[in-house]
Amino acid sequence: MSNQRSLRKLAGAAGGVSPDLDLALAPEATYDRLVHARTAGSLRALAGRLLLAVAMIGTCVSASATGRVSVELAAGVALSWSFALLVQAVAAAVVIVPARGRIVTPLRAFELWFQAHLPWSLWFLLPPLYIVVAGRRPADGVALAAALVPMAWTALLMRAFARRVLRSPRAGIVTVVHQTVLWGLTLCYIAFALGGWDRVLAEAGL
Amino acid sequence: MTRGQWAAALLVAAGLVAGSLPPRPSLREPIRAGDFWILAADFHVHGFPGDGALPPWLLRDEVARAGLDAFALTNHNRVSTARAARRLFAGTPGPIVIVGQEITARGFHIAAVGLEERVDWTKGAAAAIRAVHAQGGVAIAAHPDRHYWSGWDDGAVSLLDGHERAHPSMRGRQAGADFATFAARAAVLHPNIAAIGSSDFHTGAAPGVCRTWVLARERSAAGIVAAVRDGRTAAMDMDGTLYGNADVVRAVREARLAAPTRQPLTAWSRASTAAAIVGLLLLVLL
Repeated sequence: MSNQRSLRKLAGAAGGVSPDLDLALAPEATYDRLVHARTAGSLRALAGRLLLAVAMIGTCVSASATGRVSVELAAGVALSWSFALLVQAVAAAVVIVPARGRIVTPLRAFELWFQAHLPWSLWFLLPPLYIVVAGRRPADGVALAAALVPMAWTALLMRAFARRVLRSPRAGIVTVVHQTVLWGLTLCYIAFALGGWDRVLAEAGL
Repeated sequence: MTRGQWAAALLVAAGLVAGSLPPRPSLREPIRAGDFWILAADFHVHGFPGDGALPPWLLRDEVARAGLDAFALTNHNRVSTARAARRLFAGTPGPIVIVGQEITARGFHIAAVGLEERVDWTKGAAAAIRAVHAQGGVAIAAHPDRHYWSGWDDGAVSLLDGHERAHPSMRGRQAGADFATFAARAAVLHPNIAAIGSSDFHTGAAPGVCRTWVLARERSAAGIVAAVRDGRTAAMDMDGTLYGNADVVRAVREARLAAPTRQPLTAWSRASTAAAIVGLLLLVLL
């Protein structure tokens, strides 16, 4: 609850700079407002959200990996890592599609969920910003540890999404299901990248 | 979109386009030394799909920018990405792609180079090295600091073809001393063992930031692997310090190739990156 209070205080200070920022800082109130503003989805708006996410991944990963950006680098990286958005979409679908109480269309629900991108967007932006300012990369451990912030923050946003958009009486369970699917799929890729589940389990002594 | 968002999007686009303007560096002309080519290689590079950030086509471009003639794509316990990369670039100008695998197990990591098939990592270091040799490849002890010593008994070390003597992690005082300790031990058990410099590139330190100079009889993957097997290599660290075969060290010095490999970011690339990143920041906040 104190986290929610801190976010509300920040939201007051930010004072409606943008709906995305409002949503990140005051998720319950902002989702309430957005749900009532429009219940039907817009493919164009969703495509815009996805394009922003793809641009974010392509540009930030390019800058973090090579210290520079170019159209070719950003497009190639975005193409490669865009499956991360598919993972997000699958995890969101698992909670959006079966939600009986929601008063918006599924398309609008996806749109509203992808609007909750700010915590991870900031996490993606910080390493390249550091590179630009300091001329060197931040330590990998620092970047990884910093990921705990968007992880926790996004879980709070999902709980608000479950309450206000999906109108679920069991918002906590919806959040747990969403996070389990999301991180389960993510861990599958990490295990693949590190040499397979057998190796990961062996390293863990299992 | 609001006016502010359009302006931010334009800033992102301007940054990306500006970053695309500098011409690509031309491919390095390899140098002859008697009967040999002096080639620069990085035998430990990770790519996507895997835990590397860049897909093969971008990775090879970065390798070329770093002035390397060849690189081994060595994802953890897999060869699929490397094999796909080799197929993709067969017959095209640019750095030679060598299929590799970072054989990854508790107690040892091996950069296996010159493979066709995945090597089983579960049977111990000696068995893994024999499997690499059976495929005609070479086995290199990867980042041999004390965290990766427990899997190396003397029998396994004596089978090695090379060990990483230069690696970005050796800048830590303890790791640097550990690398030297492992090198001394390997030299006793296998006097002709190849000294290898690798970047272990995933997302950060550029490919080739530590590199291996090889004296190869032919400019091919087979020629480079043979040079490692015969110990005709010198490892170069980020400061340009050379380790390994005295003849190779001399050839590299005479050809004036031993120079620090850390490339500072140019003002142009910093400015274009800053524009794209600040534009994105504004786009998500406005």
